[in-house]
Amino acid sequence: MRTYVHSLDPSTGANSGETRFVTLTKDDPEFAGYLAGTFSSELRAIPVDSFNINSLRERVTFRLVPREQIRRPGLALAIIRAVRPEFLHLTFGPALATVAALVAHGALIDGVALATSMLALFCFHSAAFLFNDYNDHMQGIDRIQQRRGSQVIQRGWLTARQVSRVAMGFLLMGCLLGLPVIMAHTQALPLIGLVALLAVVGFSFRGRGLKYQGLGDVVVFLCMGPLLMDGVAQTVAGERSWWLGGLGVIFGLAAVLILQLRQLETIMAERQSRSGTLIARLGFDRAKRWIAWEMALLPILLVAVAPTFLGWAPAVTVTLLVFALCWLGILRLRRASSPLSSVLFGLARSSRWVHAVITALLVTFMLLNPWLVQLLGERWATPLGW
Amino acid sequence: MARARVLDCARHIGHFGPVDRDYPLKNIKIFNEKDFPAYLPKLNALYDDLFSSGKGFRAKLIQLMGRHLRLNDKQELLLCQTIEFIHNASLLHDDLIDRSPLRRNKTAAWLKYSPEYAVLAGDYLLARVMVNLSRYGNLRLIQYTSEIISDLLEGEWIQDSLVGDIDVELGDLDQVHNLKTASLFKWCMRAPFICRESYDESLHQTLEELGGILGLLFQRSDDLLDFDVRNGEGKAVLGDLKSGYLNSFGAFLAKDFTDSRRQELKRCQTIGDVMTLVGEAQFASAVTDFDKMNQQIIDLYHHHAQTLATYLSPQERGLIEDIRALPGPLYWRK
Repeated sequence: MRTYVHSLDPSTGANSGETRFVTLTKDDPEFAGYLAGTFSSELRAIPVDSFNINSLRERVTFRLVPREQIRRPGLALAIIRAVRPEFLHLTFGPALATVAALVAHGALIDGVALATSMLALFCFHSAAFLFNDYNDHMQGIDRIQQRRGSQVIQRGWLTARQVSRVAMGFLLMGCLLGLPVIMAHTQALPLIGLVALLAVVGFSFRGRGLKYQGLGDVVVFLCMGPLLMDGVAQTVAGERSWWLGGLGVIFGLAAVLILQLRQLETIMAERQSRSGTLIARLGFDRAKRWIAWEMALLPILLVAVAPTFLGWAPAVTVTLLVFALCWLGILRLRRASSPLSSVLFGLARSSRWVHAVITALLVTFMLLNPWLVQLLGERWATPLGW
Repeated sequence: MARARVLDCARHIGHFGPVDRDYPLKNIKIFNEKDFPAYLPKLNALYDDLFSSGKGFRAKLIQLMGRHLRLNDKQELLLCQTIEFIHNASLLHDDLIDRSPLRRNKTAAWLKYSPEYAVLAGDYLLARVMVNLSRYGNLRLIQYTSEIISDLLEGEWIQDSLVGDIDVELGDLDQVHNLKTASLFKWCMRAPFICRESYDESLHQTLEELGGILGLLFQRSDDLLDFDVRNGEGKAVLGDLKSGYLNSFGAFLAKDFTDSRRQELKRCQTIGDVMTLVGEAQFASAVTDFDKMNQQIIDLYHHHAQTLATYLSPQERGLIEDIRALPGPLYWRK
């Protein structure tokens, strides 16, 4: 290990005081400690240079900063940032839509099961994103691309060890809350719970997780789509329905779109780190076309599924709005002439609106279903049920 | 009449900081018309124009490295020619892609001769590089050089795709510059060691980091020049902005701008327009902050330079002092 201290000449206009750097290779016994942030209680090691990431020849240069010099929001806010609240709708959107459908169908909702399963969902959501941040930092992906992850570790707000501990805490809490409810139900539900657990832990596990094997899209599609909705329906009301499965496909596709647009934003880094994601394998031009087709598919699926159970008026309303948003997204995607184009950055953020609109409208129409049927008649609004 | 162009390096000795005057930089002939077929019309005239100007900074960096590593004359010439050929080939193509009428205050080759000759002349220089390196016979050098040319072209491609994009961010531009500009500086740092068959991986990672930082600093300094900051050379300003390209300082300056303000920046034709838009005080503050940010990068550079010392023999450690001085002329334009 080599440490060099440079005292800077204030007349150059540089930062006052010393800037300390350390360069370590993976075979150095202190490497893991610096990366995980456990080497010192007074200093934070901010990675500034990473070579040969995710390999035995990895080499990282860290900038050592006293903890008190890190400008950080409070610990709680840092954890909240790491939990990615902006993506909560991906988890709770399908869950809320399921509950709304069950309410409209007249199913008997178990209040305790509902509360505990929603809390468990929040815990699993948080654990998944925290593990993702931890693994991507340790493997170097988030170190070479500043748009990835929450960047709480790279900014020194939290150490990698803290993030992994909080993730484990959320995972255990989720299991404690969710598993008893799941095990009390049908045989299918424990299997769904197991898949969800594997997805949370295995999504980005040690750089060899499911997302690096090209299965990330499948995991997101299932776990934020049909599996999630089916799991919630069974847990809170003991119900299953192919219609909910169909709706789950729509939510799953919307979630995958967001994931893939974010991967498109960082496609250069994905290729350089030899990531196995679908977007990285397709390359810039084909990935754009793929995503555009998915955007076109979303309103088509809506118009295929929704009228059967909501009636034409609500279904057409939702579809038209989603179609307009997707069409704008396709036009914007076409304008992106470069993997670093500013048009791309923000497209992923905007695509969250598509998911949010689908959630908000479907939940609203499902909850208002009895009144809509009275108002419009059964020609235009269908009594929700299966 | 075409003449062999000699880089008179003796005049530039003082620009690299402390230099052992017992070992002055040698005169190097980058372009020799005897190396190129005389039957190709206008080729030698085009190269004569091209190599008759320019600072030859990269070749001088090679010589600085080579002097401490005790490379022989043949090796130094090979490396200097290689890097200058690659660099000037990219300039020939760049000027055509950007439709720039001038290069180094002279009519650009594509305009003076023809676009076709500019393209072919650039290609011919790259071919010449391959011929020279393959004759020399160091396979690793050939491999590394071809990777660098590939990176350079990748960077050019990506940069061209960003023309007209006024919302591009500094971090994204750094990715471009790491490929386009820094790749040649990395080559300048690593190639002399490859030439003398030093292949230690950790050594080359350190050299790669040093070269990468030098390239970044060089590009950022050039981008400041475009906004008339420390423009002692009196270069034409706002060339990037007028071409629809937001350079690194422009991206830094505009990072908190609204969309409409960015569009106004895009329409600026003079430095006066920029000052009116931004305000002189805010512009000066942005320059100070930009310099502070780059000073941190220079600190990192010094750290890597110190690391390099562990890979050098005692006779070679004089190199450290010389490379530590490089950010002075490169970034601060001292």
